[in-house]
Amino acid sequence: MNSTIMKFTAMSACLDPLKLLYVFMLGFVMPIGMKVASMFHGASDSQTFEMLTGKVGVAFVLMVLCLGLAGNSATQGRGGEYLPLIFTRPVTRSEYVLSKWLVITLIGGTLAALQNIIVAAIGYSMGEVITFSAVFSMIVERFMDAGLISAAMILTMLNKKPAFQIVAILSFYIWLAGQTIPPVSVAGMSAGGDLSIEATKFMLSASQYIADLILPTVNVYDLISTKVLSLSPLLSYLSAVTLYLAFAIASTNKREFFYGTN
Amino acid sequence: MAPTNPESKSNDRSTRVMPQALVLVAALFLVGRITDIGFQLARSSAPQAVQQSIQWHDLPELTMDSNSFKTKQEFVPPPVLDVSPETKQEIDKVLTLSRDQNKYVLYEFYAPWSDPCKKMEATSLANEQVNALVEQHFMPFRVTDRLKQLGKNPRLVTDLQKKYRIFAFPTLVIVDERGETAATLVGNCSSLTTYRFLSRTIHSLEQKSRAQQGTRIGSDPRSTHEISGIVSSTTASSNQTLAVESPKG
Repeated sequence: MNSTIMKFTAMSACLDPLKLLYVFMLGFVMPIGMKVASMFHGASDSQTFEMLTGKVGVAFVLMVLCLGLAGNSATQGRGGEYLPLIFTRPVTRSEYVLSKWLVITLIGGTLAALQNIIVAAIGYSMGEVITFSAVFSMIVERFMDAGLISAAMILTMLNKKPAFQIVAILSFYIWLAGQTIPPVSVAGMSAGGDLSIEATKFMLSASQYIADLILPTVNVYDLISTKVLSLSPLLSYLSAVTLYLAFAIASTNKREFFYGTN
Repeated sequence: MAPTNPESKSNDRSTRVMPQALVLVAALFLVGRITDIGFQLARSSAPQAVQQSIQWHDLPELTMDSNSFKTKQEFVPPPVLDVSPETKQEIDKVLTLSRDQNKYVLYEFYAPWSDPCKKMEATSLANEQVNALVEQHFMPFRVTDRLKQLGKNPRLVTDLQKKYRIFAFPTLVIVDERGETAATLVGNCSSLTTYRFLSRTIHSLEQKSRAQQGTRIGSDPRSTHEISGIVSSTTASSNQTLAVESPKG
């Protein structure tokens, strides 16, 4: 890990007013507003709320935090990116990637966990039943989500091959589509049902399969409350994180940097 | 020969070196994941009993009413909230029973052929804390869809699906004391989401109940003591559970 890279990454994420405004609005104002409204009006929280306080919320926050991560300009914004400056000095590419990943994970995870804690506190103060283990699970899950999504985003941004970026962005959107509705079986259909329903089912199944493959979920709440520990979700998660980081370093190693890079 | 600079060794280190430990760990996890997927595929091909933590009980079943089922060509959509008198009677029975137990009614719209239903049964609905919340506050009824197996559902199941606008399985529906939808959770959600959904809805229903009691206090000549007695009795809990199962065959 390189402390200078970590410091400048944190500055880049935390001192940019536009990034802060986006994170504040999407990460805090919207979900907290929805929570307060639902508590006062006795309404159930929507799927949008579930998404914003879950993995999708983490992804939205990290999308902005990762901006400019692989840029070439040495003067990009406050505490901006400085790849030519770094890579014309004896700093290893892996140091750069791992330092960036760690800081972005910590910042993204902290913001998302803070949001979850505020939402849980609002619910609790208004009489909602919430246990310590549920809050603890939320916090751990948000940090784990941040670790995985930031690794995937770092890989996407550092690998400059257009085909790879197109596939990665498409996969992200397919994953996002799968998050808008949890796994279901469509009702009211006998064998050989309607074509549009079959197509929808196929799309949902495909997006959920892709989601499991590229961004596997670990349900910490299940892990800590079950008597029989299942290692499968953890294995999938760790495998994805380490692979993304290894490929991100390999992709950075292949790139050439010099002061005149544009 | 030029003298050797002691710092040259560290400067000669390539900046493109791959961290061996990371590569090794990534390879190990990848092999582990592929092996695990193989095991899971092998296990899924063998028949497995779904773990059930909630004890479902039966209610009197309504008979299959063939008149209420039409072929696809002659199907005319009925009014969404229209339920048969028999179904209305069953819903009223359920509501009375839940009121007697001081619990809320929780319907699970379930299909035996649905993988998300089976997964939810084995994960979220088997979670101890979710179970504790259900046992404490709810009277759970399972409404099993037989359309795929038998070609049609019993009238009670069809009516309940229409009334609560069910379009997918599994769906959890919590109803208020009038039998109207208080909250709906669609799909195989995680244990935490299910727990939060149940918890929020309990709070929401209790809030509504308190508001209604407050309105009654304003208009009812009865004493505050009597009313608070009603509130406390509606929030008490017990452990009985029931289920709606459609006729077999």
